[in-house]
Amino acid sequence: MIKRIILGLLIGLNCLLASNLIMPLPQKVDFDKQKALLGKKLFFDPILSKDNTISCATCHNLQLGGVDNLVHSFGINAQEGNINTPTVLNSFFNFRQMWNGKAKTLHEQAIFPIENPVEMGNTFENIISQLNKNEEYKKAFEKSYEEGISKQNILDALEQFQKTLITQSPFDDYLRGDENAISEDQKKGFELFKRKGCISCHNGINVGGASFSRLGVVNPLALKQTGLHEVTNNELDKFFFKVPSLRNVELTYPYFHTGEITELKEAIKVIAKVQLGLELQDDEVALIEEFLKSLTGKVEIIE
Amino acid sequence: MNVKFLNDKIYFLFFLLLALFGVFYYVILTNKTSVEIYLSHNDKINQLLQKDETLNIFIVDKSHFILFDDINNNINGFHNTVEELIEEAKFLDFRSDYIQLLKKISKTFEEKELWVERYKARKSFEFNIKTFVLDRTNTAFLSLDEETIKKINNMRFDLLVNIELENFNLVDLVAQSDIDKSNKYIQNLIKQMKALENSMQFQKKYQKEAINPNLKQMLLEVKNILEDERKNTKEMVFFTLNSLFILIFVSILALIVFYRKLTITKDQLGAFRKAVENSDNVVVMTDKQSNIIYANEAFEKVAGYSKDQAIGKNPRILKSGLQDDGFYKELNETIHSGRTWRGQFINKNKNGELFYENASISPIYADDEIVGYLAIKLDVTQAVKQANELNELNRSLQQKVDQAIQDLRDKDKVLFEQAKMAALGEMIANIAHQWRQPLTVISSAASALNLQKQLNILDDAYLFKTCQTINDQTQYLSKTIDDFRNFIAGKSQKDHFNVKESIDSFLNIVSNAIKQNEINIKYDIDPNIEIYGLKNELNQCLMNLFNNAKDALLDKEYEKHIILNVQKDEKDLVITFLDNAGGIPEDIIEKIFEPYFTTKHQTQGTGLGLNMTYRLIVEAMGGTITVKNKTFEIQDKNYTGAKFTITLPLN
Repeated sequence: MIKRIILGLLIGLNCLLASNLIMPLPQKVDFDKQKALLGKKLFFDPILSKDNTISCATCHNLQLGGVDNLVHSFGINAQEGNINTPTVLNSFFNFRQMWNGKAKTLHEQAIFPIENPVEMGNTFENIISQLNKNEEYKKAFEKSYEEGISKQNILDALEQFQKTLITQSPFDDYLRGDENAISEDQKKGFELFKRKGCISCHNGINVGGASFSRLGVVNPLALKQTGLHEVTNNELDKFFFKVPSLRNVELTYPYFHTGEITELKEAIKVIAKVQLGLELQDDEVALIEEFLKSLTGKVEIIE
Repeated sequence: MNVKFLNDKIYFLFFLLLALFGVFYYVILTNKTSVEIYLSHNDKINQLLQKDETLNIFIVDKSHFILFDDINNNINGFHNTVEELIEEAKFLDFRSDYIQLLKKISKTFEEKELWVERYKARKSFEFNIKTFVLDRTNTAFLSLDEETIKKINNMRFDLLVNIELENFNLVDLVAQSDIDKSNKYIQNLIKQMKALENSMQFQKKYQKEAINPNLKQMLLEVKNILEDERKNTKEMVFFTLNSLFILIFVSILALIVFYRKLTITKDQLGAFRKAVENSDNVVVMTDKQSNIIYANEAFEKVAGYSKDQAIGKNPRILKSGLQDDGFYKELNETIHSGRTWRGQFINKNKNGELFYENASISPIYADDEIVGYLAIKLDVTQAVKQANELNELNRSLQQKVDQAIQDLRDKDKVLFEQAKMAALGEMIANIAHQWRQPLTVISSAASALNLQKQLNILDDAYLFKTCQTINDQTQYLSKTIDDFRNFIAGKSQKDHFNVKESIDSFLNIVSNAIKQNEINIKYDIDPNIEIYGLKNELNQCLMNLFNNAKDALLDKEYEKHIILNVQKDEKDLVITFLDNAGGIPEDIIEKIFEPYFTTKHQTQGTGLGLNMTYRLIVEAMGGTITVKNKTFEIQDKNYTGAKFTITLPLN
């Protein structure tokens, strides 16, 4: 009995270490180009904000890893947000959107920043009337959607565009079999990444973004926000936050939902301590950092 | 069976078939939905059950690392599939309880999803700890002295086994070991074990809630609904198909029967039409307004109008004007009241010629309402003409016959008178005989009286005696005259009379002839018989019989007898008159009552005597007279003679 259990355990762990728990991004994503282009136009257009000052791209700068590198972003009338902006890059592959997982899809997600008074502070009623005044939008919507301009169609167009925001990285090439796509250090970093247990949360296609995790599960942290608890209102869910994707993590500083850590090395050290109870050595952190840099890719914006 | 009824039936049949096909189409349509839903939904629900099971396995599983992406795909797949099912069921308007249940499943699954997320987070954490336990590259671990490392290595397996066996004494295991707990690694390990224990306890505690067996139950329930629906569908389709088959079969049978009946009716109608068309009777049909809608060939012949000319016209085009308005009024009243009118028209054809028609006009009913009239007429012009001629002929014939009868009657009367006169002659001869003696007596008495007076020897006694004699003789003569008068000019009037008195007077009249011919009269009569009848006619009859007997006995050498017998039975008087003159020859006995039949010489008889007798007895007095020959014995001698039997009613 015990032998069997041990055998099973070892096989399980072996799987964990040996098998590919990280999958490369698909090279092709299914999307409607016409709608995606309309979404792109909306994404970059401040028309979505109440006072026409802020667009999606204001906080989700596609050239800056899909974020604005600020601790908190600023909405209309220079209002400061209360949480670090997650990246839009590869967000399509997240199991849920937003730190507390409030939105299940990108479709749902877009509603929050648009209607949040400290972000865009707008209403869809207003947006639709604004868009209706614009012949270009009117035509574009009518071309793509039977019903023309509507809340659902605005959200769909934005989602279609965000689907295109995927970043193929050297590590994806490595996963697909190109042994030379990443450096030896990066390979060593990947080994450490697996061995130290990072991979038990940061796995899958998006290297994270597939589950919740309690922040400070081994060594507690003092936290203002309660994560999933904000959504479910259940004590069991207190301090459970979405595990973020590590793709482009090199670019998406500052880190954590608090945005309190700017250095990637520091972030690796902190998260290893609070989540794994590990105090990583500097050389280990450096190797892991090297590995994480192999996850950085370039976004190709559709034209 | 009338055509209208058949029509109704066939329409009903067609309607029924149409409705059936409608029902069949509807059943097929609705059941197509059910089958479609069953086929796609059953499969999808099986997938849902599988996904649910995968999640359950994930929840209870401890040692296998399951990729979150797979779990997430499962969760998303479940959501999408349930949404699809709901949309599809809504679109196909499937059972609402099914949709409600699916919605409930969707909601329940959202709770489960949350639990799965909680488990995901904890399982990844467990793996972290296991990784930590197994990790020998940990710098804190490597910095320990060799003996501690050895002890820890020994403890590792105990920990892992205990984790698998869900023994929640991991912390104790570490704490109770003899390892120096002051070092950082062990402190960390204890901390990790504490966290692990919490996590494992959490998982054990909420396992049932997370799995939520209700979900599986609901999925099976949904499956049952589908199964039920499929079963119902199957039964429904079978039932419908069976009923349809039976009804189509019945319909075909009914159609065949109907077609047969229709054919027969058609044939009958054809034959009937042909018969009507070729009938010698004029057949005319009109609508309710009396406009002609049909006329046969006989009509064309009789009326001179072609069918095309007649149709649409009122039959009054044939009116000759010879019949008054009352006639037509009576006709219209009769047929409008729904009865059949029968009568004779005097009509005028197209060429203005009169013709006679015997007509019968009846209303035609449909659903108790008069829809038209049917006239069946026969041209009787020829017959009427012939009847008129025949009447004329009859009239003249009748006149001739009447004349002949009158002539015959006149002749009869003459003969009757002759016969009467002949009888009278006989009578006078008899009177003459009877009168001869009294007249001689009167004459002798008168002569004697005269002589005695002249001789003056007439005494009073002689005078009185002689006067008495003369007076007696005169009385006798007077009586004879009375008898004679009564005999001839007898009133033909029924009266009560005594039969004996009547026969006595008859015998008195013929007494002379009896004496002269030496005939023995034997008669037997009840003196008290009275009847109501014709007295003189009876005497006349007896006279005729007597004269015939006397004539027959005239040259007979033997004793002559006449036997007269008068008797009375209950209601009749029976008189038999028998002579011994040898009887009547058998070849003529049948004819003796016929007129003008006689065996005597022309000068002796008229041949009317017995005929008159017969007529008086039978016609005037309502009696009977028969004759037959009879052989009888008188004074030891056998004689044959004619026996007449007269029966007369007493009243």
